[in-house]
Amino acid sequence: MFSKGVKYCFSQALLLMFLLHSERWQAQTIPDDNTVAIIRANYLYQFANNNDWPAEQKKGPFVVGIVGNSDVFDIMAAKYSSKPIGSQLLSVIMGNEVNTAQHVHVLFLDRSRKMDITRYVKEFKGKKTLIVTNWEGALAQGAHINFLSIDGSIRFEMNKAGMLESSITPGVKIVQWAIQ
Amino acid sequence: MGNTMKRSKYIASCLALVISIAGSSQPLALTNEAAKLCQQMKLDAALEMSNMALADKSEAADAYCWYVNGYVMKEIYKEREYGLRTSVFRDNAMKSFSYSMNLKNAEQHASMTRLAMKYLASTYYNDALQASQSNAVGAEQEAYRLFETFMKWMPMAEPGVSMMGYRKEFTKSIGQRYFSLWQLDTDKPEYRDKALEQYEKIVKLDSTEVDAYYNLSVIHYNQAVFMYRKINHETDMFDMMTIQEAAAKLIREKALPLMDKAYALAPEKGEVVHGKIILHRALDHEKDVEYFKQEIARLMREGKIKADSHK
Repeated sequence: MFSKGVKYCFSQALLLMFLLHSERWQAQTIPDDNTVAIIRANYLYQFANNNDWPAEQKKGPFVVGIVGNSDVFDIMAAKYSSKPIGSQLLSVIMGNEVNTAQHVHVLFLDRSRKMDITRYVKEFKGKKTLIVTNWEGALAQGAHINFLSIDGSIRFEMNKAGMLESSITPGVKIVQWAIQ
Repeated sequence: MGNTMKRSKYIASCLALVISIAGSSQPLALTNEAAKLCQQMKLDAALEMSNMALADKSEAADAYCWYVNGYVMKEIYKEREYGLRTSVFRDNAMKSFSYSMNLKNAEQHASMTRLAMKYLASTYYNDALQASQSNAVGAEQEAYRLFETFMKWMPMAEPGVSMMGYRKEFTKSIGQRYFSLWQLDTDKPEYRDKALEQYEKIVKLDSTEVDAYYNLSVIHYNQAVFMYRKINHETDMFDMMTIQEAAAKLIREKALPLMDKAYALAPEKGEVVHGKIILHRALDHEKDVEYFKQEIARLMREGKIKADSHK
């Protein structure tokens, strides 16, 4: 009826060129932000702003020391470093820099270093340093404020008497929002 | 002037050829000649000859005549308009193939015709996916138009084919487009909601779609992260706690249950296990974080995932 040769060539050409496209499915990127560290860092800033230290501690930088949690340190440094705390500027120090050679207003001791709590409490006794922690039972070990996790939200409990003993006056907001 | 001369000569030679073919009374002579010209890649001449064949009642009644016409236009599309989403040659090629399939002797050429249709259908699909990734104005409508064209022709090209996989992939692609737009402007929740809508469509189509559950979870988690990121030195303590409550609720009640579904379906998929780590970390679930970190280490040790493939 018609040229078989032509028809044959057509079908061969079709077989060679056919290709159905299929794109590989890509998963969405999940952000790596440590959101708990974001909250803890903000709390530390709130503690700095809303508590009151004795007059002699209101000179020079307002020092926040972070021990055992680089994420909290990074966020503190990025978001809150050099921000004013009254007439002082906030300064963030990390790990080995945290010692009694300079005045540390707020010391955050992460649970990864909880075995060091006794040493830090002893070293900073009478130094008017607010000690903040994040594990159960830390207040009994000498911490002034301890973070708690409640349904994924970070809240805090406080040892008001311990703070007063360290000459730090808790602010109204801090007392108001602390878990009793 | 020169072009007109060439064209006149060309038409004259075509007419001479038509007359000689007609004189030889060979069946489908014009169609066969068009096919030969097409093989020689003389595509304009092939199309002209094929159109002449279609104008001939006896040839136009044969399915092969329409098949060749569609084939020539397909070749023109491939050579000159490949990637052009509005190609008229492609549309017309499909119409000719489709017409060919409805003629009385269609079965003689059905396999070749279907193969050609499948090829062109796949180009509509590719174009639909590409358009779905574009942020240009009107790209989404164009993507839907191309996809619907694909959906119209593909079952004819491959009878009985399941279209669900294609619909899922296209829907994912549209979802991915909205997700990207939302990432560019996180203050536009309409993009986020449209992305969610697409992935929800997918899990309705297929309740075992791990990637869709994963992406739904990631969208909710991202929404929470964008809230956390706004917390700074100007945020009042009460506001911070309000933001935190809302964000944690989103993670706890939306993101985590969806990631759990993905994990139940694919417990050894790196991205999903990593997702579990991130979500549990956001909820301060220390033990869970440790457990899934160990799972990642195990999967890497057993060669089930590569280092960094889970991120």
